[in-house]
Amino acid sequence: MWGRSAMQYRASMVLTMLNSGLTASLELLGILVVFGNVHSIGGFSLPEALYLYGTAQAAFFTSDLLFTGTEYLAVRIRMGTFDGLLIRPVGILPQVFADQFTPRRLAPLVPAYAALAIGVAGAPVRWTALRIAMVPYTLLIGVAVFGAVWILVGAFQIVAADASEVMNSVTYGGQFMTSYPLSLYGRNLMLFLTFGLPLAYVNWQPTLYVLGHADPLGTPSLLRFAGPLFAAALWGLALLAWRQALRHHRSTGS
Amino acid sequence: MVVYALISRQAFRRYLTYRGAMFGGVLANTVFGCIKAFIMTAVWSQRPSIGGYGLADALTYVFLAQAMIGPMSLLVNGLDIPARIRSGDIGTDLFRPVDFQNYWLATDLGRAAFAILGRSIVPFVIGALLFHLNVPEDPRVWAAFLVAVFLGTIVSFALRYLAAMSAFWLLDEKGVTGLANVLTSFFGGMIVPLVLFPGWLGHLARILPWASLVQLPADVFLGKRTGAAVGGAYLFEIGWAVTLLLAGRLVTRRARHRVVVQGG
Repeated sequence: MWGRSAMQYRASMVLTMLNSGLTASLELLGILVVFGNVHSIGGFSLPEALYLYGTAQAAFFTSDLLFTGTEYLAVRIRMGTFDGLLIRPVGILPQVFADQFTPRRLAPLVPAYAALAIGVAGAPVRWTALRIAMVPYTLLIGVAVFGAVWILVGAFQIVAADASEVMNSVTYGGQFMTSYPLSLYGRNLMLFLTFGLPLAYVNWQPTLYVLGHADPLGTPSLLRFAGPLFAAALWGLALLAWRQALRHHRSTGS
Repeated sequence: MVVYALISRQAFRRYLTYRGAMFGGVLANTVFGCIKAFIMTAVWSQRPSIGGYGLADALTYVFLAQAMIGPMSLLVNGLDIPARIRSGDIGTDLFRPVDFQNYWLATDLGRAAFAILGRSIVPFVIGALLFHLNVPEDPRVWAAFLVAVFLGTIVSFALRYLAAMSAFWLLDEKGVTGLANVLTSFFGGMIVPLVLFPGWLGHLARILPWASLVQLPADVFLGKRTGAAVGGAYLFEIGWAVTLLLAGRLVTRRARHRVVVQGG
């Protein structure tokens, strides 16, 4: 339904779609510009960096496609239109996920998968069956982790509608961080991203396995495959936070 | 002049009320500044000097760029013109006894002044505490820098004004303003500092108006431009500001002929 509404202004939609694609493409070009000056970043060569970048962006924008409706909750809370969703005889979360959907969000997936494809083709990897299977697995876990983050965003917006921009640092900040080797950010931040807010499982941990790099933290190799555990834990936490937030919600009565 | 100062003050006070958004902006500018600083550290660790910038220069550039996002509205258009066209309020704006373009410039400068106080200082100070930045001690450099920022803000306004005015023809301006924002991100040196741009692309970026936004003020701040070169930077910014404002004037005149104010 939201898709159809966006299609009503076709020229505008095509333009915004092109913009979204262009923005993502120029970010990708930015990486190429950086690699025009140096041969590796944090021990990652260009194709390896593109693989990492591609997995992060593909996972993020797929999650954006599926879950990002939570970002618009603050506006609904302020306007009082959230109540409209609450009284419909459909689950509240799916309604929120689909809120304000626009086909524009498909566009950034193009440069994301292009980067991933170049990375897969160019990285010096001996592709075994397990390594090949790890690529879609990485995306799946990545989408799951970001999805849980989007739910947390929704919960936060219900509780603190005036400070909704605060969560941008987690969502878009997370997207940006995971696009580069986590080893750049130093030991403490890496520990936090591995065991605290587990963004390391979006792509970093499985990518270490695929590309055959050692974890600078020296964690056991079993952790490369621990993504589902951390993603499930984060989903549990996010859903709990969501339930609490819904309970906290007081309608403006409009 | 007094009336424009009053308009600026009103805009300043209006943005003062959006404290939640301001806090979110400060946090995002700080977080993104830190991530970019880590990436730049990795790049400069392999080459001590790129395009005349050392590591401390590059890190300073990163946090200056983050500090400019608010005042120069580098990521969003930030002008209310399109929304007021759709609601019809633009009729009131055109009717005001002040010049239309200058009215919006005054509003935007008020917004920018607030953004410098509310959004620029904290991320830069945190950046300076966490990383080794190149901060000038000479107050004259600071003064020269602030002039460059002021002129850059006018260039930024002139660019965003042109994009926003497209709504007079298109009603939905998002395509055009979005494209303008993308160009600003790239040629303004927000995605990658302009010093990393290769040969011809670097030369091109340095003569386009977007160089006025972050690159030139940063060059002044870092002491890459001193004496006459500072004057050269000002002339460059003034040249683009005048050119783009005149283009905006032309567009405004044509837009006036298109307006049909309904009812009232």
